[in-house]
Amino acid sequence: MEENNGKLRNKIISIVAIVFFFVAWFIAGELELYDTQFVPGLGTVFAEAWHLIQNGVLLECISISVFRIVVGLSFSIVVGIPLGYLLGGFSPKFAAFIKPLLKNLSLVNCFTLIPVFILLFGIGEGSKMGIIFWVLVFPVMFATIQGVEQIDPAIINAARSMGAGKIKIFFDIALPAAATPVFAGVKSAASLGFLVLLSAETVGAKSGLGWLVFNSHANYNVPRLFVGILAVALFGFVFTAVIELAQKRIIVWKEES
Amino acid sequence: MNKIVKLRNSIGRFAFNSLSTLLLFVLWEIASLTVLKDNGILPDPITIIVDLWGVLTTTDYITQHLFPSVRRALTGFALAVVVGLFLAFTLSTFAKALKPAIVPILRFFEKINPIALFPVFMLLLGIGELSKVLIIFWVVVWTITFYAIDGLSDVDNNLIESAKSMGAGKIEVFRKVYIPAALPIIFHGIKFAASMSFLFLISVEMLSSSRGIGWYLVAAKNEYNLPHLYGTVILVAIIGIIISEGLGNIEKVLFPWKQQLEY
Repeated sequence: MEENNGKLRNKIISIVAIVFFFVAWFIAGELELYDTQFVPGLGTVFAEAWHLIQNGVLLECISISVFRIVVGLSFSIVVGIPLGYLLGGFSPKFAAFIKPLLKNLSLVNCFTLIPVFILLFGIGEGSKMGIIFWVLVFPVMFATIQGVEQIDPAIINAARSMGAGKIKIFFDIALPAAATPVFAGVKSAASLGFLVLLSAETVGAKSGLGWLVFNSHANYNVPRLFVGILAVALFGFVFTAVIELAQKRIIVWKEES
Repeated sequence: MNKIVKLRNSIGRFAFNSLSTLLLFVLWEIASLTVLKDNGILPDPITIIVDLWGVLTTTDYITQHLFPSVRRALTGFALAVVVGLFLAFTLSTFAKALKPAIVPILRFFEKINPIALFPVFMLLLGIGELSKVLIIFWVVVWTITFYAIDGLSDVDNNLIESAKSMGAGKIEVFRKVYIPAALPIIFHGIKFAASMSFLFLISVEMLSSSRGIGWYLVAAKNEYNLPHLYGTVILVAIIGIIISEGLGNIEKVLFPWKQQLEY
């Protein structure tokens, strides 16, 4: 009980602190307590945000970026989980042989791959989704391998002796076992995915949050630049929250500690 | 004798681990010679490696591009280590009361995407070295801070109590209980941050600079010089692997009792 009270108090303090930060920013901007040329007041930023919401630009940029992330993430899950299952579950010797290569590939600097992907897949959606896919597929695959390797062999033997085939074992045993590490892998890779997406959207894009930010910079529209920055931060918060919610919904068998 | 065996084992492991990567290059070379002849997108690896070697030995690539890049990454990283550890230690010791209020604001800063923030840094600080170094600092300082805060707050209470009951003072408890317990986690954060700072540097240099590896990549792409482009990709990958593996090995030597899960 006491501990719960302490947690609640900490939560209230943290909300108050965040609110205080924004209110201080708002007041300082309104009263021009600092030079608002490069960092506009929150009021100006909100006015610009309202303007961008009304003419639909903000929504369009967000939905395009969400679309790219979701498609890239889906592909990486569809490819990464079965591959990880094959590597972790079927041939340990081959897995030991190929793992260092996969690890080396995952350490290739993803930003250097942006120009390469543009050459390979063109300047359109293909290269942007491709780079998201590349960033996310390795964490998903490694997490699946880890999850599959941790399965108790007795469970698999029991399922087999009751007549389960390989596909049934994949869906009923391997997938649930890999779910927790896969979620952890996606969560930690997602922030890098955002960075790379924004970076990719600065090259040859005409839409998306990265475009919004860098186009504002190029046109010296500082309030719009800050709308972009805050939208990206909000986007990150929501994305993490959605993944956590999905984790709670999907992994129902694990009690929260 | 034991040392020699150990050395031989680790060389053997290294060779085995490199095998699949070498195989990829061999397959790539065979594919370029047969199926992908002169496709104008993907040159063969031998051309790329020879070109990279030529660039490294005959031009001023190392002094003009590699060193400035590494210096930017290292400066930002070092600054982040100092500030991050200072913040974490302050918030975990003297200013513990402020922790619930300060940490959420820092979490909010962490969520502000550094690539989105980079234009602001350019506006405020110009397009010179300072904005690049500071954005690298921004990328990694929160990672270091939060890892260190987690490490310092995760110390087993029983250890603290028993040290106190045996008469240890505040400073002694901090030095002999907190630091050894938290150090592996702090180092893990620093390791992660080192990789991130080098990773991210390329992106910053691609956005705005007149020299450095990132600039070189963009220039190679604009000139459509494929061997230069792929050679730099491979060089950056090798440096990234060395940083990550090297720090991983240091971690194993320093903290053998706390092994992180291997990916």
